Parts: sequence; structure tokens; C-alpha cells
Amino acid sequence: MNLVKEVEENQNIVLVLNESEYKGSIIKLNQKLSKVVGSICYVSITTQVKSLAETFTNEGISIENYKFVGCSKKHGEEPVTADSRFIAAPTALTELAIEVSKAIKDETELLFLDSVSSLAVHNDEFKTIKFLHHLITLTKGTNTRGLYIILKSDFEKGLMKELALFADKIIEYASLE
Amino acid sequence: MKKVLIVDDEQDILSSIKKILETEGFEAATANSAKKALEMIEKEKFDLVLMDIFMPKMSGREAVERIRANPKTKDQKVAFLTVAELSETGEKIIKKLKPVDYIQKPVLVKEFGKRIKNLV
Repeated sequence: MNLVKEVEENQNIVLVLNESEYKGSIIKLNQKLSKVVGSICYVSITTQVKSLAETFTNEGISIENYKFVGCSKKHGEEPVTADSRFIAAPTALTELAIEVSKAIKDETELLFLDSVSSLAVHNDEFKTIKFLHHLITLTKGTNTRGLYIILKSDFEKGLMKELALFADKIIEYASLE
Repeated sequence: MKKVLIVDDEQDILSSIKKILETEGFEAATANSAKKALEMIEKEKFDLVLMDIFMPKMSGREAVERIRANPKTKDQKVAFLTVAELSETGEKIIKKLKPVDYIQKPVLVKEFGKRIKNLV
């Protein structure tokens, strides 16, 4: 299964990762995507944007086309690019939805949410699912694609399985080339 | 009188749909969770169950899976009632549960009663 082809053919994809491969997978995914996607809105729920941007740069990922949305405004994190935005906290879902809306309005090609699992740590499951549904609805009728990362252990339990009802495809990372 | 069970976690929705159904000549019962709905369905067969998909703790989808898996309740008529727009994948998943209809909220009052009458 080819990631780029899947993103072309399915507007909203939930990508399921094993916990053990999480960090490495995030890097590999962005190594591939940064080469072919013109603009990426990278929403980082837990990892500090500065640290993320440094890691990406060290791994040869150009962050030129990235707009980062971090969730640590309260902690006074500094923007790494002119386009960086911060919301107050991972629980500030309305603020986050506004930032995603802006990115979609700016015709961002790809919304990369890292991760649904982290969102569910800070918000209850039900709220998280409803929020994901809202994000997916925001992309409908636009050219913005969505890639939503979730850990396998979280996807297989509770309400997270319901993501399959409104995402266009659920893909296991292990099945990608 | 035909009896309909409405299942939704939002009280406003339960109240307004109950009112519409009673106006249309139905007897309407309500459940504010999937768990409560399963308990009620175990005790009584309804002419129709209107089931919201997205609810806390247990989804409507999972509730209907359990209804279908229970020999006592497997033939219970269920229609899904939800604000969610399903993906193609989602539609396939839901179809397997053999609902009699899929109704998107918000409901249009004029058409809703007619639609329910056609299902029971």
C-alpha cells in the first residue's frame, strides 16, 4: 500500500500505529509527505513544536511547507516558523477547530493530526470522537486531506473504533510500503 | 398504538422527537444511553427503535451489534438517527447491522412522522 496514493484517493485517513514504532513512523511519514505535499498543517497535541521542528530538520525533512499548530500556548512556547500557531491547551478544542478551519481556508493540502491518542488523554473519548468528526466535516467539499494518527492500542478499545464510520479509510502503518 | 423507543444522549433531542412522535399518534419511550436502551429492549419489543450512533460509553452501533447478537432481540427493528455523515466505509459497516433506515439530524418535522409511519 502506497501512502501518497492512499492520501490522493481517500480524503480522510486514520493511520494506526503500534506504540513501539510511533516515533520512527512519524519521521518516515513526514519524510515521504514533505517531498510531495505542497502545504502541511501539522497539529502536535503533545510534542513541543520546537522539538518537533528540530527533529524534522535533523532527519532531513524540510519544514518550509509546514504550518505547525502546537498546544502549549500556556507554557509560552515560541513559534518556530512565521506560520506557527499555538492554542492554550490540548483541551482547547474550539480554539483548535478554529486553527484547523483557518488552515483549510488557506487551502492547506494536508492536515496531519498527531495524534488522536494524545487528544484522548486530555479529553474524554466521546469528546475526542465528536471533535474528530467535526474536523473531518470541515474538510468536506475542500481540497484539504486529513491524516489522523492513532495508536493501535487506543483504536481497538472503547469508542475509538467508531472512527471507522466517518473516516474514508483506516490504514495500519505496517501495511504501507 | 405503535410504540417507538428513542435512544439519544441529548435530552433536548429525546424531548423533541418524543413530542413529534406523540403528535403523530405513536407511543414514545426514551433512553438516554445505549446501555439503558439494551435493558429496555431486553424486556419489551418495540415497533421501532430510533438509535443515535454517537453516544458516550457505548455507541449506537455497538448497541445494535449486541441487539443483533441476542437471539431474543435480533429481529428488533432499528433505524439509526444521527448528525454524523458516514463515509462509504461507515455506510458498509452500518448496513451490516440491517437498519430499516438511516435518518440524519436535524429532522424535518413535516417529513419525520411520515417516514416513521412507513417504517413501523
